[in-house]
Amino acid sequence: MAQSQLGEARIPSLRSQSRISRTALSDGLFRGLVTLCASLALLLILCIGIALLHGSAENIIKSGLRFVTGERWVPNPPTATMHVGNLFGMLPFVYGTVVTSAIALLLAVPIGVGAAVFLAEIAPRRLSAPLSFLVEMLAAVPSIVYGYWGLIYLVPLLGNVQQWFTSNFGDIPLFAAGSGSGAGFFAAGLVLTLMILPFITAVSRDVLLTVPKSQRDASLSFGATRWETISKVVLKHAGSGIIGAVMLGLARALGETMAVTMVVGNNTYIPHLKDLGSFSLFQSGYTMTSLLMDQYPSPNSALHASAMTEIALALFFITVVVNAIARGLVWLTANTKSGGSVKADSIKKGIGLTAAVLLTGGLGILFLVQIASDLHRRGAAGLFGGAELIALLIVAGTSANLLLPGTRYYLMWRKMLNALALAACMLSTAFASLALVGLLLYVMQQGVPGLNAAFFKMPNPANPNSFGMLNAVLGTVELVGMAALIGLPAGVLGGVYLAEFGDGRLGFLFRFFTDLLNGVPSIVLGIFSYAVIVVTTRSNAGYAGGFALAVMMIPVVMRTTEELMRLVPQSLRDASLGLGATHARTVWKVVLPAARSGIITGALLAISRVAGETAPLIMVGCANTVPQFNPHEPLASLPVGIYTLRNYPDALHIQQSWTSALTLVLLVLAASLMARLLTRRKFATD
Amino acid sequence: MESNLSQSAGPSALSLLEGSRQGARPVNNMETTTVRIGVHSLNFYYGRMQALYNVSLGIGANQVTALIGPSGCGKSTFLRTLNRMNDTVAGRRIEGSVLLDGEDIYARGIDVVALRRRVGMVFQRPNPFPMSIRDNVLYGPRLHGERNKDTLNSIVERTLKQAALWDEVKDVLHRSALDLSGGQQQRLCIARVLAVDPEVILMDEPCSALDPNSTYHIEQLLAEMEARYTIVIVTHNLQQAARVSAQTAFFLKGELVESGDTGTIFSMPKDKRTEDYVQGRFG
Repeated sequence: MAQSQLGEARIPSLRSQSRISRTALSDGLFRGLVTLCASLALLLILCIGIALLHGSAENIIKSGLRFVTGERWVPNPPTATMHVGNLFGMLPFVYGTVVTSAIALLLAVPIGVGAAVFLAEIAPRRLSAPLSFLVEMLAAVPSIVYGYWGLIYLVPLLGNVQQWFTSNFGDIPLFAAGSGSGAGFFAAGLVLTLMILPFITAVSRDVLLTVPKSQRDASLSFGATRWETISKVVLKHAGSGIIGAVMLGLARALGETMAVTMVVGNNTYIPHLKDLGSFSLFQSGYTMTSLLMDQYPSPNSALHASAMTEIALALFFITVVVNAIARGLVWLTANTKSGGSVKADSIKKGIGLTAAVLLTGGLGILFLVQIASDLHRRGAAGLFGGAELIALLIVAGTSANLLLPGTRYYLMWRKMLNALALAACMLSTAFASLALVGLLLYVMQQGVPGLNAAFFKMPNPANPNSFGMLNAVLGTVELVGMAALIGLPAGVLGGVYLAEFGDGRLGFLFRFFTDLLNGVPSIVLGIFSYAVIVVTTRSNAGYAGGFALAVMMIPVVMRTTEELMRLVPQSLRDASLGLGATHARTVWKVVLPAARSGIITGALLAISRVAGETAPLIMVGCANTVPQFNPHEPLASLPVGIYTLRNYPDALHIQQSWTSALTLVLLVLAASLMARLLTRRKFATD
Repeated sequence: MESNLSQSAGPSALSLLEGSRQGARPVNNMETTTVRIGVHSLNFYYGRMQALYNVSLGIGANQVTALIGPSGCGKSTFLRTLNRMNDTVAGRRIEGSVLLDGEDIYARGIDVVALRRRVGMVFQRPNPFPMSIRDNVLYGPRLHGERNKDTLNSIVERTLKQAALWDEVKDVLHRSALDLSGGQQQRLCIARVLAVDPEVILMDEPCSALDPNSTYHIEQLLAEMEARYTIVIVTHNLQQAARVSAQTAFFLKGELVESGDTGTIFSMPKDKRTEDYVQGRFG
């Protein structure tokens, strides 16, 4: 070392003067820091798994497999009069989650994909641009608002619908008498439909837009109708991407808490769980999430708490698997777009085939069992139920399709089909946008009368009828602020890693886990935060809620930062590196400022997502009616306020809820609108 | 400027139409060529921008017509008006008429679906669907209601042979079409068009994305197809136009400058601009 220093004293050496060059040091530190942040998602997923396993250990040992197969949930210990007790079987809740999610998917997938087709393929730009914008905005409306709307508006309405169905079609198992009110699986399924509809529409539309125009041109040039082009070429091309979008929607439906809890009826007892024939859409029940929401904050015993943690573990596991499959499918579509890879193609085909076989096989068996049971129970009269009708339609449709080609009317038939299909897509869009805009207008109509100075005052703890909710508004701001304090830097730095160094295997892994973390239900994150912070500090501190929200923010910020940093041209980086700047300095001074508006967008999106979160706050016990802002004590917040207020059905408190819901919606939409406008300007100037 | 151009283009284009009708060269069987597509005073607008100025051209049956001209001269736009592929473009407007066998394809009540079955198209870049080779060929026939397995099999074999691709793919018909090379893909796209048995085939620079060897294959193919189909080809490559076409039309700035017998256009053009272009002075 010393020798070379002396020998080359006059000419500036290319070799560094000290053992470790400053460049290497700063770049190394920088790289280490961003790598650490990028790995957070993976670490968090592992920690969540371990924390949940640890929390449910007691029940795993005591209940064993009976937990998975059990149909009874009796959380009280046995007493002299009640001999059964401490029974924990999760089957009723899995059943509820599956049924509500299935209803939501059955309704939301055709409508959502139809609307996406309309927006991407049919509508003129003047119409599709504002509608797509609207759909993206609606995806940001907090679930507590959907839930409260469902409770106040939808459930009474469904009560009447249900009565009509039961008195007219009560013989058909699907419509058998259920809960007395409108609350139940059907109500929950409907609310979930409305919630995942904008999401499925937005993601499917993005997928459809990746199909190259040349494919459509080729098909049209053969004299294919619009619909034939869409169904045979475009949807085929985008197939696995759309399945991915649907799976992402499914993961949301599985993990959705607030909207479901408020309308599902919360009943642990499912009559005749194993007898398919007596299934009714209108039954009330629990989903996995709504059980946690209802009972987790006040367990009867340690075993009860442990059993509920195990439910959270099961939910975590299921959503992670569903998300992993969904991400895999979306990734495959994006990577086989230009054709080429035979391997990816065959994997895709394999997954598609397995899914198709499972789905058609499952549905077929379900159908046959249903028809057999109808026949068995009611003789020939049983052959006029819903399942029979659908089977008949399928058979008729298939045979009509086989018979028609070659006849003189074939072209007419094709054009009719085209018109019908396009009309259906248009109707889907109309339904989706009208239903959602209707909901927003309803919230506005109910909330605006209470939007006055009295609402923005601190409540008086001595007076239960004081109208002020300022503590909740400020509490929400404080919680989101705490979340942003952790979530934003971690997310941005992690995003820097993914964009700058994330092309290798490690980057792929980190990105994958970030996407998985993004799909973990918020209630599970709340339980994680409870296990990590509340249990150790023994207080329902506000920062426990802030931590849960921060975990939710990280993946959103990380992925948006990555995406927008990748839009910064490589030439800009080269220019800075070429002038002798270190990589760290280049990122800090050149790339990040260039991507600034994009990163603000990501932050705003993340804020709009967590501001409406309710479940994690309730899980950590972060609720307060007394105005106080010490983060070591529980804080009030708008979403939790709405959830608590639902228990007071008098005019004053209902008004207070609607105005809180409206304020929350306005806050969230403002953040989301700002985010969209920023990205739009960014793309416009590029 | 605009009115100026269309005024000057008016009379000359009309006389050219007459010229092309009279001067069309006799094809193989010594019969005079009949006009399959007659275009009369065609004006085409993308919103406010006019892309074609008063174009009139007769396209002879069972021969290759080449459309040449520098980039942005309107030749592709012209080609796409012939099977109404421009219909999907927002804000397009069209004046004049395009007659296919004497019937105006822009008249009210004309069915685009039926029209495109008669007028097929091959695109600039090969665009096979992400399906097997066989399914690609059969996309059109199936669309139009053909379900008979034997017929479908014979269509696959016939068209792939016509497109000089059969020997290369006959054992891998169920492989994805995306696994083929670029030249093979383009020949597959031609076979795919032949499978619906159109009268007219429009080709939009079909060789521009291909290597010389594949281009040679496709030019051979054109020579064989000429007897059965009316072919209109847009090309940037002047030698290619000279090699494959019987009739040539030269476009410049949305205007049809000159059209007629390919030999005449290349050896003794009437218009100075045509002469400059074919001799490589611009373009």
